[in-house]
Amino acid sequence: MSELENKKNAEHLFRFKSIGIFLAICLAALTSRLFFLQVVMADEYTTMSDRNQIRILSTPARRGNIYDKNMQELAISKPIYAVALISTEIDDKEDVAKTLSGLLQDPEITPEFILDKIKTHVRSYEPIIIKRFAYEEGLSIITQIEEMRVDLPGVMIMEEPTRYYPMGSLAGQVIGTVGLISADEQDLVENYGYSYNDWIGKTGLEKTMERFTVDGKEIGLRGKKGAQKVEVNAKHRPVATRSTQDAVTGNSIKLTLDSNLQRVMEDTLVEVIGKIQKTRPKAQAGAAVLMDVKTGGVLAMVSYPFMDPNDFATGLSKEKTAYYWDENLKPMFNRAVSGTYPPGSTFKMVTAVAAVAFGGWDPNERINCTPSAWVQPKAKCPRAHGNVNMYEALGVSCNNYFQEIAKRAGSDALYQAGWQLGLGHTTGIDLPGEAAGLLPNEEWKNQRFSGWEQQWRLYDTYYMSMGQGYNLFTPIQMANYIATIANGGKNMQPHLVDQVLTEDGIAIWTFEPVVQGELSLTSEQLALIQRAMLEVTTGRNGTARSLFANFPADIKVAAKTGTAQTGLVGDDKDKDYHGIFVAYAPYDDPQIAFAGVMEYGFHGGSSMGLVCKAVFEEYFGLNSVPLPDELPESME
Amino acid sequence: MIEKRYLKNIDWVFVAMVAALLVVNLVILKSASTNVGSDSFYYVKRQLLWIVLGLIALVCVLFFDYQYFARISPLIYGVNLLLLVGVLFMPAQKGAHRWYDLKFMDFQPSELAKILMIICFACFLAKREHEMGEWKNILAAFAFMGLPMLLIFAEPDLGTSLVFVAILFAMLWVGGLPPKVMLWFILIILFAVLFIFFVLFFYTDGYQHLPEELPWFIPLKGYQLTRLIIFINPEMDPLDTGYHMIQSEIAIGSGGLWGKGYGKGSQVQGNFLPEHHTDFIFSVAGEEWGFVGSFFLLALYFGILARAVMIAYRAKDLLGSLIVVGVAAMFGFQIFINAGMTIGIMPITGLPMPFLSYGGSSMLINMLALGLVLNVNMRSAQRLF
Repeated sequence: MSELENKKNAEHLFRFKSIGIFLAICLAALTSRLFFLQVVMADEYTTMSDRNQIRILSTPARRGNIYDKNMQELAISKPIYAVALISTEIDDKEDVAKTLSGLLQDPEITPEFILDKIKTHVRSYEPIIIKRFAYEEGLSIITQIEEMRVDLPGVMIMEEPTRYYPMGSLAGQVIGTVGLISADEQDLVENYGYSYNDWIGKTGLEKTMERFTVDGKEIGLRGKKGAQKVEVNAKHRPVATRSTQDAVTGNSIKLTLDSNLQRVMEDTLVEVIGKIQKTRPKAQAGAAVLMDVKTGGVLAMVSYPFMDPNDFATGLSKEKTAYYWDENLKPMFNRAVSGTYPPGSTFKMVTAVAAVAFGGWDPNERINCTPSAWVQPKAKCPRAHGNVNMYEALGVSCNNYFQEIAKRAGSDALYQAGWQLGLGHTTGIDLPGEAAGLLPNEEWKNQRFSGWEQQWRLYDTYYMSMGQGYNLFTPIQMANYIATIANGGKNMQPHLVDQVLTEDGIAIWTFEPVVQGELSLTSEQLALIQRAMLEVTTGRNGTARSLFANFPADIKVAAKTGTAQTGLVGDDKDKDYHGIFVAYAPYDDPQIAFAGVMEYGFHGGSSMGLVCKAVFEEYFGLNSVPLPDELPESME
Repeated sequence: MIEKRYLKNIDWVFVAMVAALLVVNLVILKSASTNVGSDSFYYVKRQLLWIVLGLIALVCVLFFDYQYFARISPLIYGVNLLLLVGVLFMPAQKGAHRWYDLKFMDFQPSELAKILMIICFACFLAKREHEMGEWKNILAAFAFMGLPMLLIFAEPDLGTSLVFVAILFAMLWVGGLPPKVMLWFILIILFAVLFIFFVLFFYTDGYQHLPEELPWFIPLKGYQLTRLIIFINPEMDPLDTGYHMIQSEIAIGSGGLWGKGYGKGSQVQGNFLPEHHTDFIFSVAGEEWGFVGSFFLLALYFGILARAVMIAYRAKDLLGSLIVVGVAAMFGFQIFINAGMTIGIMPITGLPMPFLSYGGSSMLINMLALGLVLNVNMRSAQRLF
C-alpha cells in the first residue's frame, strides 16, 4: 500500500469517526435531558401529571334531621332529581340547550339561560344543574329525557339529597331555610370546606346548627362531604375511580320545641288575627313565645305571617318571591327574636322590681289615684283607681301608681331592674339575627340626642315606667323576663336545641341550662310581685280576669296585659296600638311563661291573651273552650 | 440483479435492529392510538399495512444497483424540481402548498425529494471526489442543494428544508470538504441561530410576547418565529403550541425511571398530550416505559445510525458512502429534532419520528431510504485500499 493511500485511508476513517463522535454527543445530549426530566425532576412532573388527571369529586353529605321534643320530624332530607349537564361532553351546545329548554317547559329556562349557565360555570368537569324537581313532579320529564338520551349528549339526571319539612310552615322561621351558597359567602368556601355548589343553612336553626361546634369538634347538621378521587381525561370525563371516602351524615338535633303546642299557638294566632282584622285591618302580624321557666327551653315560638321552608328547599319560585319579599309582611323575618316592640303595661313588673329591689319600696304601701294626683307630666289613668297598693295597681294597671313609684326609685333603678330581667341585651338564644332591643337610660339618651333632648327628664321616667317612651323589646326577651319572675329570679338562657343526636339517635350533646344572672330580690319580695301578677287574672278589676276563668284552681295564671303606642311614624296615637300579653303558670309551681305581641292588636288580653289561653290549655291538658265569634272590644 | 454474495454482505445486525424498531413501533402505537379512534387497532393495522408496502418498495429498490440511479441522476433532479415547483401551484391545505391530492392519498413531494436529492447530491459529490476543497465546487454544491431546498422553504415547510441542511453538510463532510471550512460553516450556523434568538429577545422584551412586527433580517414567517418564542417561553401559550410542549414534558417527566406501565400513561390515555400517536409518540414511550425504556429506544436509534455510518464507511465507493451518509443524516436529524422537541430542547416542528410516528407516506419514504442503505451495503464487496 502506498503512502498516499494510507493517508487517504486515515482521512476517510477520520471523517467517519468524527461522525460517530458527533452521534455520541447527540445521544448524550438527549439522554442527559431525559435523565433530568425522568430521574431528577420526576416527582415534580408526577405532581403535575396528577394535577392534570386527578379530580376530587365531592359527594354531598346527608344533612341531619331536626326533631321536636317528642321526636316528631320537623326537617329531613329526601332525594329529589336534578337535570344537569356536563358542558365538556357537549359539542353543539346551542342545539342541546334548545332541545332541553323545549323539554323542561319552564318559561324561565330559555336556551339563552342554559347557554349562559354553561358559560359562567367555572369547573367544567362538574355538572351544571339546570333545574331541580321534586320526585313526583319530575318523573314524567325525567322519563322523556331518558328516552331522548341520543339527542341530549352530556345531559344527566342527578339524584341529590334535598331538605324537606314535613310540617310545612310550622315553626318555619325557627327551623329556617337552606339555600345555595352565595358569592358573598366566599369566607365559607375558603375556610370551611364548602364549594359553590353547596347548600347551606341560611336562616333559623338550619343556620346556627350548620356547623355547631362543641370543644372544637364540629357536630352540626351539615356532616362531612365524601370525596371521590377520580381519574379524568383531557375532556374532564372521569375514566376511573382511585379512591372513595364516604360522606358522613350530619348529626340530628332534638329541640325543646313541642310541635303540638306550636300548632295550637299558630292556629290560634291565625284565628285571632283573622277576627281582629275585621275591625282592625292593620292587624296582620304577630309573634309569641312559650318557654319552660326552669330551663329556658323554648316550647313554642311563632312569627306570623308564616314561612314555609319547603319553598326555599329547591330555590324560590317566582310566584312565591313576591310573598316572601313583601315589605310590610316580611314573612322571612322571625318577629319573636328579631322584632322589637314597646312593651306597654307589661313593663310594669320591671318598675315594680325596680322600686322594691333598688328603691326600698314597700308593696303594701298605697298611693291614691285620683285626677288631682295626675299632675303633668304624668300620664293619666282611664279612670280613678282610688287608694291602691301594688297588687291592686298591677291588677288594674294603674298608671299613676307605677309612675309614682318609678319617680321615687329613679330611672337608674328601672334600668338596673330591666337589665337583670334580661331586657335591653340579647338573650343568647340559639337563633341568628336576635335583636338586642332598647332599654334606655340617662347615658343612652345623652349620647343619642343633642341639645334640649339630651337631658333625661322626669317624663322619661314616667313613660318608661309604663313601658312607653323608648323601650323596645323582642318577644323572646319578654318571655324570658316573665320566666325570670316566675322561676324565682333566675335569668335563664333561652334555647331551642335540647340535644344533638347521631344518625342512630344517640345523644352526643345535651344542653345544660345556663343561669345568666339573678335578680337582686329576696324570694319574699319577688313573691309580692308574683302575687301582683296573679291579681291581673284573679282580682276583681283585673285586666284579664275573665280570660282564664275555666282553669282549675290548681292552675292559676299570673299575667299582665299591655296596650302599647306603636311609636311608629304615621300611626294614629289613639287607635293604633300593639296588643301585648305576658303570663306564666301555674302560679303555685311555675312551669311555663308566655309572651306575645300582635301588631295593631290594640288590646293585649283580647288578642294575644287568647293565644296564651289556648296554648296553656293545650299544655295543661284542659278542655279548650272555643273562641267567641265576636271578640269583646275590651277586656281591660 | 441480486447475486448470492450480496446477501452475505448484508449487515444483519443493522437489519435486526431495524426489525426490532418496527416491532417496537407497532407495540407503542397500539398504546398510543387506542383512544384515538373507535377501533383500538385501527392505526396499528394501517401502520402494519404501510410497513408491508414499505418492505415491498425496499426490496424493489435492492434490485437496481445504486450506480444506475447515479446514471439517471440528472433526470431525477429534473423530475424532483418539477414536482416541487408544481406543488406550489396546488391549492393550500392548512395554509401551505405541500401536497398533491392524489384522491387515494395526499402526496408530499418534499418527502420524496429527500431521497431523490440524496441520490443526486451523492452523484454530484462523487463526480468531484478530491475537488471539494475548491470554492467553486462548494458554491456549486450549495446551489445544487439550495434550489430544491428553497422551493420547499417556500411551501412553506421549514422543518423539511432544515432536514436538507443536515443532509447537505453531512454529505459535504464525507464528500471531502476541508475540515477548516466545515468548522467555519458550523460556526456560521451557530451564529445564525444565536442571532435569531438574540434579535427575537429584543423584539419580544425577553420572549414575553410576540413581536409587533417581523424583524426583516430574519427570513422566517410569523408563525415560525412564534414557535421559536414559545419554545423559549412555553407558558406564554399554555393552550396551543406551549400546551403541547408542557404536556409532553409532563408526560415524559412523570414517567420516572421505570415508567407508568404499558397502556397506563395518564397523559396519553387521558388525551392530555395531543398528537400522541404521531408527532409526540416518543413521549408515550417516555411516559409508559420511563427513563429506562426511552433510553433503550434512543440507544436503538443511535445503534442503527452508527451501524449505517459503518455501512457507509465500508461502501464500495464514495457514491455509496455518500448515499448512506445522506440517509443517516436525514434520519439522525429527524430523530434528534423530534426527540428533542418532546423533551423541550428543540422547538416544535412538524417533523415526525422516523419509524415510530404513525404515517403512511413517511413510512414508505423511510423504507425506500433503508432500501438505499441496504442497496449500498450488499454491493459493498471487499473494498481494497
